[in-house]
Amino acid sequence: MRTDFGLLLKRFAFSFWFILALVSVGVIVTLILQPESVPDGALRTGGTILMVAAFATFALNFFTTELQPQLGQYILSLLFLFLAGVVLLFFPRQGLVLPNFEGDITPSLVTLSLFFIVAIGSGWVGFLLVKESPALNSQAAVKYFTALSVLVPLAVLAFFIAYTVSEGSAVISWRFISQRSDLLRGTVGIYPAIMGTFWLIIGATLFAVPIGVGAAVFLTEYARRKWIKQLVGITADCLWSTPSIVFGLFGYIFLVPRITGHSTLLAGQIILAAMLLPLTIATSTEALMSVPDEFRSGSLALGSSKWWTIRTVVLPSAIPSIVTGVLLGIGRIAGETAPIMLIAVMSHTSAPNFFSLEAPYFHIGPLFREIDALPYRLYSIYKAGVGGSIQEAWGTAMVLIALVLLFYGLGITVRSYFRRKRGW
Amino acid sequence: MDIKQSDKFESGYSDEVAIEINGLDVYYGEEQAIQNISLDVLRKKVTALIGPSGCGKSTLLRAINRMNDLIDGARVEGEIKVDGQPVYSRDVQVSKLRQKVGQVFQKPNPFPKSIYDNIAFGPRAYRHQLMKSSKQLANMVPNFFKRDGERSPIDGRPMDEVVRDSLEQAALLEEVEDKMHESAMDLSGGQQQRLCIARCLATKPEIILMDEPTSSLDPISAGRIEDLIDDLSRDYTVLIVTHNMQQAARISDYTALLWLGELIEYGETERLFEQPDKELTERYITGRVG
Repeated sequence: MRTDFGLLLKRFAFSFWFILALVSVGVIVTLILQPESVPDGALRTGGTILMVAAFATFALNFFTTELQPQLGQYILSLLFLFLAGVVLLFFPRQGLVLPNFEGDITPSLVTLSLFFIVAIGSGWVGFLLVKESPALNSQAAVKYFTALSVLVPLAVLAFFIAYTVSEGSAVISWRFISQRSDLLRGTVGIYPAIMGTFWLIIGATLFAVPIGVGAAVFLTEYARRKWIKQLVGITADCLWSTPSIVFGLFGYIFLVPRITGHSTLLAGQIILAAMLLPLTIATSTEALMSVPDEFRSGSLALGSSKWWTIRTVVLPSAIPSIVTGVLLGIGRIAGETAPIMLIAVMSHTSAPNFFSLEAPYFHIGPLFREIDALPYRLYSIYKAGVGGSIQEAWGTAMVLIALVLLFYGLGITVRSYFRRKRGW
Repeated sequence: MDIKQSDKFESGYSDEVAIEINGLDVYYGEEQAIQNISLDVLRKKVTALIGPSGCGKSTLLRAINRMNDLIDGARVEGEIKVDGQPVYSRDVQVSKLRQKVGQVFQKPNPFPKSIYDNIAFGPRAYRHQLMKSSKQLANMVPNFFKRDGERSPIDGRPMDEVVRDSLEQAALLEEVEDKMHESAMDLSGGQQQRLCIARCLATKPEIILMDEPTSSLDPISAGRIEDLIDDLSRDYTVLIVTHNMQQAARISDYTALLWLGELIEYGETERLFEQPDKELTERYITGRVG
């Protein structure tokens, strides 16, 4: 029934407005309780009045008995909300003082949350406008709503990237990414951290992917008993949901004393591989199970062995999905700070250098030394004041995002290559 | 009752038999899918298996190239001989058997590879088997190092030739000649099914098992497959499962009617459709049961 559905949507929409109003109140209260953070009284008063007005409009809407809001009210709410957002957006940036830097993150967070409130709020207003419009029916409204759900994550991502780039691009230079910070020579750079994170990812992937894919092949192609699959599934889920600091602690207590006794790249790689493993197993199993059985029987009926079937038909068909899964995992471990803090990193180390121009051209020495890593670097610049300015942290964040995106790009290339070949 | 005895073909019998089935029982767990079936499939003839759904036609087919082995809980008793060699004996190499007894499935199932790679798949799989089992050094040299290109390990001909021949035999060559290295998944359903037949021909089989090969195709594509089966019967033994009786009447030389896992009647198609021995057969082909 159309009416029931519409009513449901409407109730949902109103609850949403109510929550939004509560959030607005929260923001206003913060502003009132922290007047020192807002030096300009006029702006503060203006923003507050606007927010209250917006809240009143929502409340009016919410408590209207016959759920038949007027178009004008929505436009009004939108306007208020928008103006409130604009006012707060231009608040001077002052507030909490960080250990080493002048500058502040709090007003930015306020701006950020308001950005979301304005974005989502205006989206909802638009939704309701569409819904109330006589020319369009509720089907169109649903379409609009789902499209909005696509737009929001895109907007969030775009916003994060844009913000990071705008804050960090000032320090980004070839020197910044190609040399190390040296207090004596006065250079500033994150090259060791980049290389550290790079080798961490490479090592973890090399450890985790063969094992994970192997396990998935066994589970989907060979294991007959259901409980084995369930057991591995549950184990993988448990591993995946284990807090990363626990992995770090395990590495610190169990691995580190057995390798060198101090932080090493190898320990970091192994622990990150253990973190990557469950996702690799889960996505690979999923990927292999989605390969149609007709491929297997088709191959076997031509006289090929089971392994040949797996190698030439099943695995190539599953690779795109496996790659996607591994990439998701890499995205996670690349930014992981907690475990490597305990087992792999140290500030102001040099970059791991596996290759040289002289014999034997390749050294495994760096595996057994400390490294620097981007997330840790970010943390230490920000929290411990290792670098020279807060911009350095943003620059580092930008490089970290770029590195993760690089891996994503690589993966997407592989995936699209195989997908073009696949096409089922 | 041993149906086989009553249905044996008189002249030139032993020479002509490609598949010999004696007292075959197939079980899926507790359930018996095939009960004591005996029949001989003649060489270079088209034999159709007809019967209602769930009567064991496909099971019988899969028993011949041992594809039932892949199904959990499937158990086969009795004897099947292909070319006088028992299929279910310990020393049979299943991959060799399946190379000799090809299968075409109900739904076209080309691999997500190029057309060329699809056809070359069987021979390449065969080489992989050889590398495992034989001491011949020639088979162990990767094609990469061979100057005259890849060769099929089955008959030693160049792979290009094998691929073209197979496609030609499957009446597909003209349509795909200039897109050999494009994905097989882009072909139409009928083309895909002919590709699957070509893929099966590339391993030089003697017997081709077809499990309702036209049931997922439109009438025109189905017609082309039927013509193709007719052509193939000159060189190959074809055993085809169908529940389209017109199709069985059109394309087969011999027809067997299966009913609830039992063989009801087996004989020359013309005779079976015109003067069936059993009442059940007559009722089935006239559409009064099933």
